[in-house]
Amino acid sequence: MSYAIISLLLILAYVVFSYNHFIKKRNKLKEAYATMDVMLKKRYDLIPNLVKTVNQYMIHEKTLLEEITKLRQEAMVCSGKIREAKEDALSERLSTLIARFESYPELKASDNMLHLQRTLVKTEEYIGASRRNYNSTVRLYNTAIQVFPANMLASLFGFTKAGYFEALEEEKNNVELSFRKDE
Amino acid sequence: MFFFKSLISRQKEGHLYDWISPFELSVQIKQAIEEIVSGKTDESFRIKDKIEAIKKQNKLIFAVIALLSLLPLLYSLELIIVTFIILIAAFFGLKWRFTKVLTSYQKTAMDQIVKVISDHTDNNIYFNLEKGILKEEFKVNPLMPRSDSYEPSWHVKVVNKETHQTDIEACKLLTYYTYQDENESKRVTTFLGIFLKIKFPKEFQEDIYITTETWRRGAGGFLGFGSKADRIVLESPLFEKKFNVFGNDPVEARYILTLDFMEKLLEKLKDIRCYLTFHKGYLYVALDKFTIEEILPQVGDKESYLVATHNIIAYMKAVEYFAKALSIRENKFTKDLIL
Repeated sequence: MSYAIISLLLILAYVVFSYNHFIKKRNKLKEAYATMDVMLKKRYDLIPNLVKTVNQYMIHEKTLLEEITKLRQEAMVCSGKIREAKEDALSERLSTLIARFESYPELKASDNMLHLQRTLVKTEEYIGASRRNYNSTVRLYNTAIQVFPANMLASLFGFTKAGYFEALEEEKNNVELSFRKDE
Repeated sequence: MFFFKSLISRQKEGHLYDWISPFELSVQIKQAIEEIVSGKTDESFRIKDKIEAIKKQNKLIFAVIALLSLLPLLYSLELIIVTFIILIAAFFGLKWRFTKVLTSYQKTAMDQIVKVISDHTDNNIYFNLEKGILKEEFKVNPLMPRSDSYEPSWHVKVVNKETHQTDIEACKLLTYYTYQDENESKRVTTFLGIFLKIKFPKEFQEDIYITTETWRRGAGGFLGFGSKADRIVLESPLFEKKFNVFGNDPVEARYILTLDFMEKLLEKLKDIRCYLTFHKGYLYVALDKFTIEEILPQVGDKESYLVATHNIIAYMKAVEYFAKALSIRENKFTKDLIL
């Protein structure tokens, strides 16, 4: 009888421990996503000012600037994998824009532009870091709910597998195509 | 115990200069150093006068000792013993005095050498034979080895002339603690190597601590750390195998430890027991079992002055190479000093 009670208590302790463990992991996951979201929003806020500043100098990059503006608007209203694809494309376009600054000496001489460029580079790096952090948190969370026997409890309590923040190739291509159509 | 010993035995002993290729001093530097030695400058005349004065004083002391040594022939055995004690004391006194004078001379000579180096670069360079990076800065990282006694030396500091900001600092460092074993006091060396401080190009708020001591990975091995920082598991399996990262902000840690930076750290610090700290805009690197050449100039010896100059530039060049290899610094502050 006493063995049965001890076993039952041990199982109960394991269930409580596992449940709390899943909750902690899930909260960390939400926190990581929120941090990444903050960084992405910071980038949305930077873009209008950036476009406004460079517009007068980079007349030959009109298409690129339009693409950046359009991608920003779309990324702000999208969600899930489509948003991830848009964010990816936005990062790519912004990197191209930063690389092209070199060809415009008058831009490099502007203090305002230098400040904007530094902020943008830093934000891009922070986005990359927060994305890596989110994906790492996802990996730890998924491992926690998929290993045996925790997976049985996880499914019982409704913990489901989380997705990584990475755009699928197909979605990335869709972003490219939509621009080609616009052009 | 065997496990820890096996961990330690795998650590590589190194020489800071192994990182750099051979080089020759620039013609201007050579000329400036030769001017010091040949006594063309006021500074070297002053030192020569000082040395001459000490030599005279020493001759006088020796004469007095010689006179004293004759006294026992006239008096008793007790006096012989007393005289012998005086002779021994005088011998050690003279030795101490000579060492003190020589060290003072070498310190002044090193100051002159460093001034020549500083005058030929865009930076202010400071050197101190008996000081180093502050203990408080070493102790910032709770993962650092126990350091009840902290003995830095060979301190080199590079300060930007325009910003007045310290760009690079390096020193040799010995840390140890002592304990009583029965009636005997025993000393345990915890760190003997090189400690570097390099201005980091990225801004960050939170401290990040890194160690190569894998035994600290488990909760049990992380004794005394408390809630100061959590372990951060990074994406690179190779980096994870060699280093343990602790910090409070995993995003900021990844902002600093980019994949490229992790790869460079791994490449440069492979097989070396080291501790890294990111604190208040600086990267601190403690390389255990690392050495430098400790060459000091000798009185009036031109060759030794040139060797000492070469040595101090090699020291700076090695630190510079390390900073450049990690893409922390781009400008070369030793570029005008060598051929």
